[in-house]
Amino acid sequence: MSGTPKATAPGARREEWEPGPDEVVLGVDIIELVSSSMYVEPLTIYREYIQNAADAIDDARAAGLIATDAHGIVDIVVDPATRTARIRDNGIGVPGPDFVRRLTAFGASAKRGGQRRGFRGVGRLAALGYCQELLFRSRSTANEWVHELRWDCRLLRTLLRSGEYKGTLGEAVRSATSHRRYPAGESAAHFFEAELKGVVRLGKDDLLNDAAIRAYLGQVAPVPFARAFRHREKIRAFLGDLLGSTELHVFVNSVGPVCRPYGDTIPMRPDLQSNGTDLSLVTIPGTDSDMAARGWVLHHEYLGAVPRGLGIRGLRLRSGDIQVGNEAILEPLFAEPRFNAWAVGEFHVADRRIVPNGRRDNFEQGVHFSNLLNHTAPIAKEIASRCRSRSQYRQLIRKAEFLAAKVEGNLKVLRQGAISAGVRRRLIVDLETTLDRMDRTSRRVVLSPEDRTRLRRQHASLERRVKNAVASVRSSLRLQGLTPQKRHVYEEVFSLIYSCASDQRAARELVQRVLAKIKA
Amino acid sequence: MANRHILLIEPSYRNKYPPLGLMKLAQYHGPYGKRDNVKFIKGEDRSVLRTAWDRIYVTTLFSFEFPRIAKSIDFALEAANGHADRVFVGGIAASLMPDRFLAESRWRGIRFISGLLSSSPADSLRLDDFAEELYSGDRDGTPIEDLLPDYDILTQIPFKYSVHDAYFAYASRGCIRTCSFCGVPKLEGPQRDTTSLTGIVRGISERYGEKKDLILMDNNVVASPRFGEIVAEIRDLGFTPNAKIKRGRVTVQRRVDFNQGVDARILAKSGMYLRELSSVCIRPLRIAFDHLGLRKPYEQSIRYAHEYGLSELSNYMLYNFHDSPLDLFERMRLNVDLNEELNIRIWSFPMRYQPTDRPDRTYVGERWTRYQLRSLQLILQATHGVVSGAPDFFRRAFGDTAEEFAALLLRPHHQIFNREWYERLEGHGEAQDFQDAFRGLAHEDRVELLGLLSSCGPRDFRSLKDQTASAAIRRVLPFYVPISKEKEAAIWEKQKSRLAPLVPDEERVEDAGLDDDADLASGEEQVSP
Repeated sequence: MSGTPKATAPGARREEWEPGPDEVVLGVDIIELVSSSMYVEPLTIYREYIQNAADAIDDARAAGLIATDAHGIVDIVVDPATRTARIRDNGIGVPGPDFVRRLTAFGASAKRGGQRRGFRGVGRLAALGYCQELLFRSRSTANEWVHELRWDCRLLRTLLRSGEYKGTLGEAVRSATSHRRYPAGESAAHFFEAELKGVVRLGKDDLLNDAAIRAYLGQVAPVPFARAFRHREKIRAFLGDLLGSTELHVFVNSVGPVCRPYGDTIPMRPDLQSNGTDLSLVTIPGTDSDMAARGWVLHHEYLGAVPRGLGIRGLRLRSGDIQVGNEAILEPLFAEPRFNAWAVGEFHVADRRIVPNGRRDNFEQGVHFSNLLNHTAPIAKEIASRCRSRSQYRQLIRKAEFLAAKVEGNLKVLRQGAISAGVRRRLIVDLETTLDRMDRTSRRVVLSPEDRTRLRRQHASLERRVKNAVASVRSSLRLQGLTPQKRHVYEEVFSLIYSCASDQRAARELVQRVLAKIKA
Repeated sequence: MANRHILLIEPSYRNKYPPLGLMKLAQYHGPYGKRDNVKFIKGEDRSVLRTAWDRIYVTTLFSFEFPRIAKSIDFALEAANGHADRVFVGGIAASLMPDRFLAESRWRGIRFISGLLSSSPADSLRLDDFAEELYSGDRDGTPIEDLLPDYDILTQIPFKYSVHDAYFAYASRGCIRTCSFCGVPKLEGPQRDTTSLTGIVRGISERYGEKKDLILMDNNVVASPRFGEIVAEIRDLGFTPNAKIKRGRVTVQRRVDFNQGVDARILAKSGMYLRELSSVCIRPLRIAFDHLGLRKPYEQSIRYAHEYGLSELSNYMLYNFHDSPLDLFERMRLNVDLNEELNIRIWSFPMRYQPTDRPDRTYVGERWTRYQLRSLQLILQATHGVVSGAPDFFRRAFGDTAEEFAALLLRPHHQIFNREWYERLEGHGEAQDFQDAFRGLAHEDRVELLGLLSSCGPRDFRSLKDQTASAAIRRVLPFYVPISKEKEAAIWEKQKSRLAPLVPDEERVEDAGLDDDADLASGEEQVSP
């Protein structure tokens, strides 16, 4: 090896720089680094195969193998009984002569520098850590046989765990892989398929849970919006090319196509939904005159945090119409991070210099991504401001309702005619004060015209009823027949009940029951 | 590249001159430069938080305004959404004490620019082309320092600078001297020529309209080998004695102001300098009188000025450096004598020395005391920072002799702050009682009293009696206990007349340090009524 530094005496002249080594050692640990270490969340392996599928379908369309208006198809079949999962696309496939070389290469994608979603050449290895056997099959023309490559993941793990294995990366791959070819039979003319056999059981076994896969891919994969989402065409038109040539139709165990989970309303709880109010379309400028991203934000009533299970909460980022990171990727932009969970929206990266990192859980840091974050921050601020003002609005309405209920309750006590004159005077003052507060609340400029009109009417009606009640105030008929002394004692007792009770309604019912038993 | 969003922030201190550095940055980014969207704010205008800023510049002025500067830098970081790489801080304070700024870990990543932006924009702003920063390729552009100031940004803020209808320029940069109290050697470096004054004035005039005055911020113009040419250029630009300009329907006098002052040591060498200066409409002529050792050249300069018909003079008087109160009094007194003898008008502006790298104003010179500094500050507050050369005014404000001045500096602060009340109105009796007690103090007692009063803040004066063995001092100490805010408010209400002479705001010094220091007369935060 050349370039080995030589010991030099202090003060001696330094030698010139020399080129690096002629050969670079690639150890077997690379396999672990690009498979199980890279894809920590098991479901991400589906994203990786779909990402490759999307690129292969674009190639097929460019080569005229798929009609320009036809959908790319990805079929996923999972079988918990046999512990297998299969992902097949109708993309361009891998030509036979290149098949083995391309599928055993590490980080040598021919797609780097192009307009592709994947370009690092490691995504197909994502499943190596999650199954005992990984098979790739492909065919790129009707004249070809089907080529098949088999990864023996069991053997691979043994090699990786063995402290004694001294082989290189190439030697380990040679040991763990084998390939063959066979006549295509009924197979499609062009396809690529990854099959996982002996899928390991992890956590809730999401890898073989078709519902979990659908929910996950609905969020991350380049799949269409649901037809019921009324903004879908508007968003599609706005995003244009950023969505790729066409969206994929993904089927999981023949159910599909999987759609993005956005809708016009957001079911917050079984009895409560937040309605979408307006759609905001945003273009984010790049560091030069180009565009960094385009996005949309669905403003709604901001009733609270959107339930996580809906798969729509948080401002999200997508590149090549595939989600990067998760719902929390833009959470740091919110001064109060909780408000990100109230938000619904997506930003599609347009600037090719903004590159997802290898794990695709974030983007590579740099001035262009920093610019994107900087321009997204004011949007986060606006959403937080809407969240706060909606929350304040709801508090205002609750306050108005509380005041109205208080007036109603006190009116009933007044009409009951069971309290002493002194307490009655205080009650009337309290009624007037509450009406006054209600009046001020109903005049607040922040109220919508409908709410203001409703509250003004409610106030007017209560004011009228209080006036009438005060004008015609008298003792209960039950008490009228008693001697003044006796009546006075009852009134004092009833007043005490009202002042001591924590629940005024319960107190009123108790007084009512006592009144009913009084015999004149 | 255009349409970037650029935010310029000047901290919320009250300053007299607009921020020239920011105005030049506005020129760089603005309609005649990169065609970006430039927004200028003073202080923390939260409406800017709705915009994504591509770059934010914060200027800094006096180092003792550090708390306000810090607030602005924190705000800039907030406006940049935490992207410190978009925030640039420059200006005087950042240049004088860069380590103080760099020591704040919360500002890590912000670029603090020391000195002038006199190399290419990318170099002077330390832009990184490897990180593909905005305009990082601009390595051949005109230095930002050499650009015209953009006056249009001044209309974006409600704050009005007392000097704004003026050409702000330099005819020379730097200084031949290296005075240890001065920040110029650090900020500007040695004396050198600069770009054409005529070009700057004409350029400003073409883009932003003709300006009334010419403010030259040269640090030592008379030391320039081009002095004669500079004055000739000023004349050619129309700033000759009695030059006028129309402002609306009114015709007003124009003026030239070397606002950093001129060097008496050079002026005194030959009448040529003041003869030349008298050929332009200079007003006021500011001559620095930093210590009594400069008496001879200062006096000679004043006499030359008088000889060439310059009668409106102003001078900076440094104090709290190596001088003593007596030294300051002698310098002020000299101006009174010269005024009387030559029938001229010299306004003096005492300027309190603070080390240029200190983020506050608490420095006390070796021959001053904390109490005396506060006393002088209170006297100057009443006179709006100006020392009139009118003999009657001077005697009343500062005393007739050095001893009277020393005694005045030892008066209770509320009696200094409310002179009218205690000398002529209802407080007279109390002031007399104090004088009677004060007269009973021997010289040693006065020295001890000064030490005691300087050892703590006013709110602790009440407990000082326990720290002295002198009965005479104990007798006088109660007079120093601050009066209540209510009592002071009542005094202010009754005592409206002040000692302030009429000096146009534009002629005052940039900062006389009148609003700083909390422990003034009543021992609490206080402002003039």
